[in-house]
Amino acid sequence: MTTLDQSPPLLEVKSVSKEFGGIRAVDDVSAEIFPGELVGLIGPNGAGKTTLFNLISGFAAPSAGTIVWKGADVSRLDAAGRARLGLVRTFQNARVFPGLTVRENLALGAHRFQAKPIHPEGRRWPLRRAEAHAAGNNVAEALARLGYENVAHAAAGVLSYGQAKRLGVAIAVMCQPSLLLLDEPAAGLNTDEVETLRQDLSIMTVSGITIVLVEHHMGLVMTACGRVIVLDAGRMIAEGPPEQIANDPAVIGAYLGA
Amino acid sequence: MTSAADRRQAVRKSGLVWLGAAVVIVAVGRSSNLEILNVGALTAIWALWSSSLNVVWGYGGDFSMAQIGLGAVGAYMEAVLVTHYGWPFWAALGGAVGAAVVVGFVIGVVAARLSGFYFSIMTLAFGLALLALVPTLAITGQSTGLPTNIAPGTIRIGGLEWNLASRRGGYFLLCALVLVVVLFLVARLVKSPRGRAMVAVREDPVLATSVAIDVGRTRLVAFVLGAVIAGIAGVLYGGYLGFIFPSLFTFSAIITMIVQVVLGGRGFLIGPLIGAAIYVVLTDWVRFGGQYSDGVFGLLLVVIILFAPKGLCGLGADAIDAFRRRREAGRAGTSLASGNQPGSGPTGTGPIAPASDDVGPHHSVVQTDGTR
Amino acid sequence: MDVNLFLQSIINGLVLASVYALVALGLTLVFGVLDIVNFAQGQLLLLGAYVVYGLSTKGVGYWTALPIVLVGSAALGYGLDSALFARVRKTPMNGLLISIGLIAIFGDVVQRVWGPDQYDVPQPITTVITVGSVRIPGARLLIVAVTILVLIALTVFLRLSRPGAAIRAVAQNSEAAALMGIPVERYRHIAFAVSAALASLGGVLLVAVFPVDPTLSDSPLLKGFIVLILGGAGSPLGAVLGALVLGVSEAFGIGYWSASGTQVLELVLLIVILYFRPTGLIRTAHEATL
Repeated sequence: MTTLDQSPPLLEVKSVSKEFGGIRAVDDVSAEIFPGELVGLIGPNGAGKTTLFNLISGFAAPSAGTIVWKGADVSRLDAAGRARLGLVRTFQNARVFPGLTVRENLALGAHRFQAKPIHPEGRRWPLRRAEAHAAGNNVAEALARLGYENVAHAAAGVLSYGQAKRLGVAIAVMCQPSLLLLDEPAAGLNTDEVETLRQDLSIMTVSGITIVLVEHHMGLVMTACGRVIVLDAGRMIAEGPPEQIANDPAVIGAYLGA
Repeated sequence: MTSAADRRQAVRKSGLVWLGAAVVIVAVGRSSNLEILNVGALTAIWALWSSSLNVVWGYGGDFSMAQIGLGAVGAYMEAVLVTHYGWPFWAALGGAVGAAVVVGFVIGVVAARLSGFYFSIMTLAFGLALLALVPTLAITGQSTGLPTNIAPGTIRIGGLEWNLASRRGGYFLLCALVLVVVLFLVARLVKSPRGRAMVAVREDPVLATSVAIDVGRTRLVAFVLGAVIAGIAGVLYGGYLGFIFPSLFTFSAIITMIVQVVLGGRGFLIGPLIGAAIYVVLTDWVRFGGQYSDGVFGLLLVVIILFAPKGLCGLGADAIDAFRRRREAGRAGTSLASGNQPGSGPTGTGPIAPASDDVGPHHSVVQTDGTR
Repeated sequence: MDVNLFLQSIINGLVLASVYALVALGLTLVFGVLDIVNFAQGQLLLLGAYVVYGLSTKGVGYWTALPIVLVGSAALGYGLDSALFARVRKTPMNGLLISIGLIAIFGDVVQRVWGPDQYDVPQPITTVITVGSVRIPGARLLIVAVTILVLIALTVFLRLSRPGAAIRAVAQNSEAAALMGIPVERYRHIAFAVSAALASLGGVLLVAVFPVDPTLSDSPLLKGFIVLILGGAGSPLGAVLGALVLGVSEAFGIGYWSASGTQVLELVLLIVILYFRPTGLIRTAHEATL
C-alpha cells in the first residue's frame, strides 16, 4: 500500500470476488482503507464499483474472499450489523424515506442512539429526558447544518432531487459512521450542488469520518480524494494519488475502451 | 423547529384528547339505550381487531391475512380456559394473549422471510390452517362451538359501578377502555424509535437496513404486537357473542377487516376505529344492504381504492395539509421576501405544509400509496 | 389393494387437477403479465358455474352455454381490467385489494340471484364407461379431455400467435415492449380476459360433475394459490405440473385418508414450499416465465 499511515487499516478487503451466473462482477479485489482517508473508487460503467460496495457493506455476500473491519472478519455479519459497527453506505439514487418528514429521516439515521422518542409526546419520562434531548439536539443541529430547518416537517418525498440526495448522505452521517461508502453522490447534481457536496465532504473528513467515494465526476474525485483506486471489468487496475492515476496508461486505456 | 413551549402544548393537547375519549366512553357507558351500547361494544371490538392489522400492515407494511385466525386463537383459548378449566376471566385473557403471542411468533418467524404478496399468501395459509385445525379439537366443541362464560367482574368510576359482563353498559365500557388503552400504547409506540423503525421498514427496507435497523426483527416485533391485539380482540368478540363456533372466523371475516382498515385509512391510528364504526353502524344498526351488506362493502372497498386509497383519514389529513399550505402561503407572501437560500422549500413553490405527525395524535404517519 | 378405488382416485385426481390447472393458469397469467394477484379468480369460476345453471333453467343446453360463458367472462375480464385494475398499475397491492373487493361483490351477486341453495345442472354426458369392474363416468373424462385441449390451445396461442408473443413480451419487459410499439395496455386487458375465461371454464366443467352451490369456488381458489406457488408464480408449465401433483395426491388423500386432514396437509405443504422455495418447486431459475 502506498499510504505510510502508522495506524492499522480500518477496512481490509481481501481477495474478494463476486460471480453472477458465471460473470465475475468483482474479480479478486484486495484493498485497505486507513483512518482519515478520502479514497476515490472510479472505473467505467459496469466495472463493479457498486457491487464492491454491496460486498463491503453486507448487502451482497462475496463468492470468495473476506471483509475485515477493524481487525475482525465481518464477512458473515449482515448489513444492519455492519452499519451498527460504523460501516455505513449510501445509495446511487436519492434514497430517503419518502413518506416521513425530513426531520424523521435524520432521526432514523440516529435511531439506535436514541433511548427515547424524537416526538414531543414521548418525552415525559424524566429519566430519559436528557438522552432524548441530546438526540433531539443532534437532529436539530443536523437540520441547521444542512440549512433544512424550513423543510424539517415536509415529507422527504417532495424534496428536489439534489436536496433528497444530500439528505440521503446526511441520514448516513447521522448513523455515526467510522467509514462512509458514498455511491455517486454527485450524479444528477448541478454545479452549485456539487460545490456544496465538496464542502460537505471536507466537513465530514475533518470531523473524523473516513470516506470511500464512488464517483464519475472526475473533477470532484481528482481534487477531493487523497488516493484513487481504479476498477475495470471487476479487477483493480490501478491505485495511487490522483495525479498519478490521471496519467496512468492502463486507466486511460480502460476509459477509452481500449 | 418546534420549540419547547410548542412541545409542552402538544403534550397537553394529546393528553386532553385521550382524557376526552375516556370521558365520552364513560358517558356513553351510562346510557340506557341497549342498541347504542351494543353497537358501541361491537365497534370497539372490531376497531381493536382491525388495529391489529393496522399495526402490522398500516405501520409495518406487511399485508397479513392471519389476523382473524389469531383472533380465533384468542377467543377459543379464553373459552376453553374458562369453560373447561374454570380459570377466572383475567387469567384466561392472559392465557389467550399468551397463546396468540406464541402462534403469532411462529407465524412471524416463518413469514418474515418473505415480503409482498408471498408474505400475504403465507399468512393466509397459516390463518386458514388455524381456522381449519381449531374445530377439529374435541375441547373446542368442534363444529358446535362452546360458550365463553365471560365474567370480568365489576368496575367503579367515581360513585358509579358497572358489571363488566353486563349488556347494560358494562361490556361496552370494558371493550371501549381496552381499545383506548391499546390505541394509546400504539400511539406511543409509533412515535418511539422502534415504532419509527417499523414505518421506516415499510417505506424502504433496504435504506432501513443501511442505517442499522434490523429489518427482520422489526417486522417480527410488529407481527407479534399485532397478534397480541388480535388475541385480545378475539377474547372480547367471543365474550360479546357469548358463544363461539367455527363459522364466525372465516375468509369473509378477513375481508370485513380489510375493508375496515382501508376505509378508515391504513397507517392512521384511528383509521380502524372509523372503519369499524362505519361498518358496524351500517350492518348492525341500519342493516344497510340487508343480507347483502358484504357486496356493498366490497363495492366500497373498490371505490375507496380507486378514488381515495389512503382512506377517510387520508382524505382528512390531505385536507388539513392543503388548508395549512394555503394559510402559510398567504403568510409567506408577506414575510418570506428574503429570496431562495439553499433548502428554502423543495419545489420553489413556497413552504411545505408541516407533516401530519404534528397535527395531532391521530395523524401520526404520512401514508403513501406504496404500502407493500 | 382395491383396484376400483385406485382407479377412481386417479380419475378424480385428474378431474381436480384439470380444474386447479385452469384456475392456476389464470392466476399465473395475470400475475406474470399484470403483477396482480387476483383473489377474485375463484369468483369468476363460481359465476361461470352459476351462469351455466341459470341458462339451463331457461332451456339452454350445456354445449350452447359453454361458448356463451367463455365469451361473456372474457368480456367481463377485459372490462374489469380496463375499468378497475388499469387504474392501479403502479401499486400492485391496490390491485390485490380490488380483487378482494370483487370477491365480496360477486359472492353477493350470486347469492342475490340464485340464493344459497344447491342445484344440479343437467349432465351433458351421462355415458358411463365400464372397464372390467371399474365404472368411469364420461363427464369426468370430458373435463380432463377439454382441459387438455385448452392447454394445447393456450400453448399454441402464447407460443405461436402474434398476440400471444405480445403478451409474453409484456410479461418479460413491458417497457421494452412499449418501445417496440406493442400496445401494452391492450394486451394486459387481453391477458386478463383470457385468465377470466380460463377460470369460468373451470366452473363450467365443474358443474358437469358436481352440483352448484356458493361454496363451489372456495376450494379451487385456495388450490389455485397452492398450485401457483408450487409451480412458481408466473410459470404456466409449473401451474399445470403443480395442478397434476396436487390434484392426484389430493384425490388419493381423500380416497384413502380423510378430507379435512388432506386440506390441512395441503396448507402445511403451501407453508413449507413458501418457506423453502417461494419461487416454486418446479420452475427453475433459468426457465423463462411465460
